[in-house]
Amino acid sequence: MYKSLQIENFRGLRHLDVPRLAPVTILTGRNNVGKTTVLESLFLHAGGPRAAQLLLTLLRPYRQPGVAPNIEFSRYATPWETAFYDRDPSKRIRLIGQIDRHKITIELSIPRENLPSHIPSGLRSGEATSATTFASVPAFSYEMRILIDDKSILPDELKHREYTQSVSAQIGQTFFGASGLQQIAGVNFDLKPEEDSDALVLSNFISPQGRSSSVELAQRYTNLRLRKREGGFLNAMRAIEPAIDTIEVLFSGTPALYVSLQGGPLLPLSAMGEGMISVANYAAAIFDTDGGLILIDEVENGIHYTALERLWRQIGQAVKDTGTQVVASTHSYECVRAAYQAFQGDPDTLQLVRLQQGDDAPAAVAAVDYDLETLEGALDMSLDLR
Amino acid sequence: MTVMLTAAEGRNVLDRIDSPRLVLVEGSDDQAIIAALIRQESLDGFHVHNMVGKDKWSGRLLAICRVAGFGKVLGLGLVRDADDDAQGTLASCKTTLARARLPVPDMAGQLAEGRPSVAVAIVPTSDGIGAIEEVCLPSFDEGRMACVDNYFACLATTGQIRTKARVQVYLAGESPQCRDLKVAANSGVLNLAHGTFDGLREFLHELRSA
Repeated sequence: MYKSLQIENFRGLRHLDVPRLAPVTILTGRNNVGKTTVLESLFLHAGGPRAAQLLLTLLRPYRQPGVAPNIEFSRYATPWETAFYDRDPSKRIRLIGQIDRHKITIELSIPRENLPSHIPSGLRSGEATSATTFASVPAFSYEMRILIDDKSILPDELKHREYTQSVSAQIGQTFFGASGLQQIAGVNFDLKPEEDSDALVLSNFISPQGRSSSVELAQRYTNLRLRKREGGFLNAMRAIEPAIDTIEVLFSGTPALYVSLQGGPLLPLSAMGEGMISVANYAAAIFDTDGGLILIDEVENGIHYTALERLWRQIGQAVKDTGTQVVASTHSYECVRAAYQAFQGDPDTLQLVRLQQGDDAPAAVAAVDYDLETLEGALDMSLDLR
Repeated sequence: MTVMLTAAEGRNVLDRIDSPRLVLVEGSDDQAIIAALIRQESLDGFHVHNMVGKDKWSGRLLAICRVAGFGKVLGLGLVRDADDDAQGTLASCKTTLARARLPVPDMAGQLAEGRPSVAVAIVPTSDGIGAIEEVCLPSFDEGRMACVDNYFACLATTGQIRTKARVQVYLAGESPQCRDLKVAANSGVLNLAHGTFDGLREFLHELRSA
């Protein structure tokens, strides 16, 4: 389990020290303060040897499905530079996580030969003026190093050396087509050395834009059924919809989850409300990732406030049953209060971390932690925790 | 002279602390009197936060320590009612401060150096009983107080007449009429120059020196 995290030079955070992470940690703070960056940092760190590859999946200009890379973007900065603080890839990203007793550092950088002065400039919007224009976003690469105080927790193949891997990639191609600017989706990348090591901690990153597909959910539910662990999933779903009778995996072209309410017909989960789909994602991830890390961006998304306390109780129980750790961001006061009420009497399970302007360096962000007693005091005084 | 006023309940929520001195009090009467004394003494940079009651100070203080700007507070003051156990109240303050990992003064009125420096005031005094009403009572006009006591005698009120009741009756007869000490402090009815407020005055100057 992650106990703490330090972030250096990642996205908008020059330095952030998150001094304590609990089995369930809620992240709050104003827009653009760095909540998602903290989740992404944990995701990369948990990936360990896969961090450089995972960083490709987090490139923000590319993360919204259906949206072509912003051509304007390349006039000012290349998209991979957004991963670095101040868009300065000469400042290497350092993520220092404490997993149980071990402090593990992951460093990510762009190799010197690929620093901006060596990268050809990207497309400029003015160039994409006719259907015959065709160009690509230039290739780029990240390099990653793992530093660890005790190599015994690394996968076997990495135990006996300092692990360095580089990944070079070319993200899609952009061209001016019949319907305007279009992108050929996909990321091609090469790994050096060519090996695919296990992650340090199995993790799942769930965001409103990045949920599991129907097929993935069905697969996860099948995994739970095979291990006779569907009960927790069902309870979590009933936290927001008590009328659920049964949940089944049915095959109609592709496998998908179907839900029956109060003896009614089975309906595809995808036909249900946003909240149901959100909770199905959370529950499937938690129960199918024993001892892992679940990262949830905007956890309250689509869920009515009256269901939040029941949801947190189910998450709390799931965390106890599986040893999975949950870190979730929210903008909702009701969500924070519901978590406090759900974890009352269980002071070691819940922690709130609020990202806010630092007192010593106002331009910097500080992570302020609230244990259950402090959280009670803050809620009691209606302090703004969001 | 602007004094920042916030409360644990109601609309004046504590969003951030921009003043170098923060005073925590139990109620709105204490808050108004402390604020009036700060203005009278022309002390700069004070923020008075009403904790609304004597319970839950431990969790609430932990939360206040995390409010944006607390890291820049130089002097923190706690003003608590003695009630019927001044020593017990002081001990409770010490426990609360230690729990929040703040400097702990040995006795009331003493400034414990640190960041922030911390002082505790027990009202009416560190060895007395009662609350802010007992501090104010000596500042009232003796002749008018005699009328108040005659009023209770005329009503043949039985049992001990609480100080709070005597204060309320006295204030109701003032001009302008005041329903409580908060209104009295804000409307200038209270004689803040009276020596009975010297203890609180010294406490505020002590905090100012932090």
